[in-house]
Amino acid sequence: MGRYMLEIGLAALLGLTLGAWLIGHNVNAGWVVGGVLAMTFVKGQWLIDEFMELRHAPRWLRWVVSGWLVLVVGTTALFNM
Amino acid sequence: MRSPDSALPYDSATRTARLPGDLAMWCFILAELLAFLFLLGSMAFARGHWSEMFSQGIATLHPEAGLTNTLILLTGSYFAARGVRRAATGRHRALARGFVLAALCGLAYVVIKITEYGLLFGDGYNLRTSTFYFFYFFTTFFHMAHVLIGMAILLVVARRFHSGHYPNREKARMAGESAASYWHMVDLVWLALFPLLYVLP
Repeated sequence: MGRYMLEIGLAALLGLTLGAWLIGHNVNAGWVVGGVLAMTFVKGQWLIDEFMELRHAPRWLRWVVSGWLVLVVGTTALFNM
Repeated sequence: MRSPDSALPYDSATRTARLPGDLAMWCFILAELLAFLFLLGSMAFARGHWSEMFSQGIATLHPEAGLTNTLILLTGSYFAARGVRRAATGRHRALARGFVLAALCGLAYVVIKITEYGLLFGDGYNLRTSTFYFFYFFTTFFHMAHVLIGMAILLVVARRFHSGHYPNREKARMAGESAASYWHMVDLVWLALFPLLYVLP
């Protein structure tokens, strides 16, 4: 599986993107904003860890970039939920 | 002592905490992320504060274009990451190929974005139409400028890899990882922008 980690990750990222888009446009429920933003966070963190390769970078850098993601997604949730 | 040329950066058994790319590039990336934090945070606030205006504005956008562009940028990030991984095993041409494919994804993104701008301008919307359109055009254009910068960086590094410009494996690794990191940053920002404009109800 390790050998195909990037391919599996890409498929998951594309699937989550399509899934979030379909939910956002077709489902009318209270959990939609939270669900879409949770999917956004998962996608962003995976990109940070695997594509950016920060999983094995110095911890401060991973915390700063992941912290950026938390702040942006959190701000969106704060003002739009 | 190990020479840089014999390093095995992707061997999990020998892996230690290591910066992917150059520290100067990371300072640049973090400065960019800070600028986008203020921009996206302001947009999130405005979207909540003027929710009716934003809903009306978002209804005039082209959600399929936003979805397609997100899928394209993610695929471009994959090509860049795959190129870096393959270069670590000495396949430098694979990195050049991966970076060119990533830049082509960037080009497709730009073409779609400009087409979307053209459709909106044709419908009579511009920066001055309302606060929503100011945020939309300013933020997406600012992001697209970064896509163009990222494409230029990828193509320059790909050309240098192809021509054997880098004197040793360590310098090649630093250049490849720095370019890819910038490209992934551009993708990360778009992932955060995408729900604000094209997904959230």
